[in-house]
Amino acid sequence: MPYRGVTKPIPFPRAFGATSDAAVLSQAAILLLMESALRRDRARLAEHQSARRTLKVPTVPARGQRVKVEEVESALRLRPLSAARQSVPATRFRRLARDLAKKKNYLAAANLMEASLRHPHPLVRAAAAISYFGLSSEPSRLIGILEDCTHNDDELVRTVAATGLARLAPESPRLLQLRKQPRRRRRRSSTHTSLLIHGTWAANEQWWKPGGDFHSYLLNGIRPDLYSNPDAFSWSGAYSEAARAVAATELQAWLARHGIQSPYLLTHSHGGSVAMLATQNGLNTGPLVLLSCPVHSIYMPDFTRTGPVVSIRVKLDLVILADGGGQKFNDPRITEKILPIWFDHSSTHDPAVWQRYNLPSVIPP
Amino acid sequence: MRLLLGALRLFVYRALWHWFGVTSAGRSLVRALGSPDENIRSIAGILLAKSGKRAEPLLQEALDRRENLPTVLTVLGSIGDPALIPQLRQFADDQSPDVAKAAYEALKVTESAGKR
Repeated sequence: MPYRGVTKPIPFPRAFGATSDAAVLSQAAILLLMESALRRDRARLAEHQSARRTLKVPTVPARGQRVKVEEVESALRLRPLSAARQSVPATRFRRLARDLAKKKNYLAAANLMEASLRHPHPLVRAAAAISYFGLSSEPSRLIGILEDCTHNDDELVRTVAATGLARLAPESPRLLQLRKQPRRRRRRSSTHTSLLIHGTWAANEQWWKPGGDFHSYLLNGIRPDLYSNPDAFSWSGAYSEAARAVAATELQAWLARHGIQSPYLLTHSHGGSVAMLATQNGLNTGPLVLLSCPVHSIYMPDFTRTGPVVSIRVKLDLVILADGGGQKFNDPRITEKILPIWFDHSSTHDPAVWQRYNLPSVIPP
Repeated sequence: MRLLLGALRLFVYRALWHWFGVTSAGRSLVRALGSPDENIRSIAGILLAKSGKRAEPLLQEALDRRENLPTVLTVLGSIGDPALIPQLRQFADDQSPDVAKAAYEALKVTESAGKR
C-alpha cells in the first residue's frame, strides 16, 4: 500500500500519537535517527544533522548500559512480546514521547522504544526494533520482530526490516530465504469465503447466525459464499479491550482451523474492532465491511493486509455515543457511507435498510 | 423518537444511580438488558460495564434471580473482576446452553484480563 506523499514531516514529539501516513513515517524516521546517538556514531550524527534538526530528534546521551526489559515492561504495564500482540493506544505514545522530550535520558528512550515494538504500524515496529537493539537487555527478541516484518506486504516495511536484519543479525536464516526467493506475493483468491462477525452483546442474537434474517439476506444473492455451517465464528461479545483481543486471536485460529484465507469480512459494531485487531496481529483479509463500527484509535486495520475497507453508519448512533467512540473514520483509505437514518445502531444489519438504500452496491464485490 | 427517549432514559438512570446512589435506577439499567430493542440492550450493557465493580451487586441480584442471564454474565465478563471467577465457573455448567456458553466466554475474558 503506497504512502500518501509527505510534504512536511511531523517533528518529535508531536509525530507520536498521530496516525496519519506522515506521522507513521516521521515516527519511524525519528526512532531510526535516535539510534546513531545511542551508538555514539558521530559520522552518522553529522550526516543526518539536518534531518535530525527538522524532525527535532532528541539526543539521548549514550551510557553504554542496557535497560532491563522486565523493568520497562512492568513500569509501562506491557505484556511480553512473546504473548499475543498488544495494541498500545496512540495517546500512550504521545505521553511517552513527551516524557522523553522532557527528560532526554536513556530510560525514557527505552520506554518509548519498548512501547513502539507494539505499535499498530509494522514500519514503526521495525524502526523501534533496530533502534532499540543496542539499548535493550534482550536484543534477540528484536530479531524476531524484524524477521516478521520481512514478510509484510509493504515494500518499505520489508526493506527497512531486511536492512536492519542484515546489519544486526547477518546470520539470520530469513536473510538467506530473502536472497533465494522471489518476493512472495499476497495470495488473493478470486472467490472469498465471507464471514459475518457480530458485535458487543450480540453473541446470542439470531440475526448473524446461519438462518438469521441478516445472514439469510446476505446469503441469498449478496454473498452466496457466506459461511453457513452451524459452527460459524462467534466471540464473547463482552465490552472490553481484553474481550476484543481474545476474539481477534480466536478469529485467526478459527480461520486457520477452517482453512479459510483472505476472508471477505462483514462486521457489525465492535465486531469490526475485532477484525481490525486481527489484521494488526497478521491476519490477511479480503474486503472489510464495517457496519456501525465505533472509531477508536487503537482499532484500525493494517491496510497492507486488507482489501478495500468500507464503513456504513447512521447519524449520531446512540450506542456509539454511549461507547464513547467516534463515528467517522478519518483515514481516506476507508470509504464511508452515511445513511440518512438517525440514532439506530442496529439498522445497519437490517435487510430492509439494505434493500431500501441499495447497500449491496456500496460494499466491494 | 421512541429510541431517543428510551436511550435518554437510560442515561438518566445511570446518572441517578452513579451520582446520587439511587439503587432502583441502577436496577432499571439491569432490567433494560432484557429490552426487546437491541439499541436499548446495548446502551444499558455499555453503561453497566463502564461502571465496573460498582455494578457488581446489582448484577449479582440479577444472577440470583436468573434475570437476563446470558447478557448479565457477559457484562460481568466485561468488568473482568477475577473475584467473580468461582461464580462464573458455576454458571459454566448451567443446563441452559446459552447461559453456559455466556459464562464460559465471560470466564475466558476475565482470566485474560487478569493476565494483561
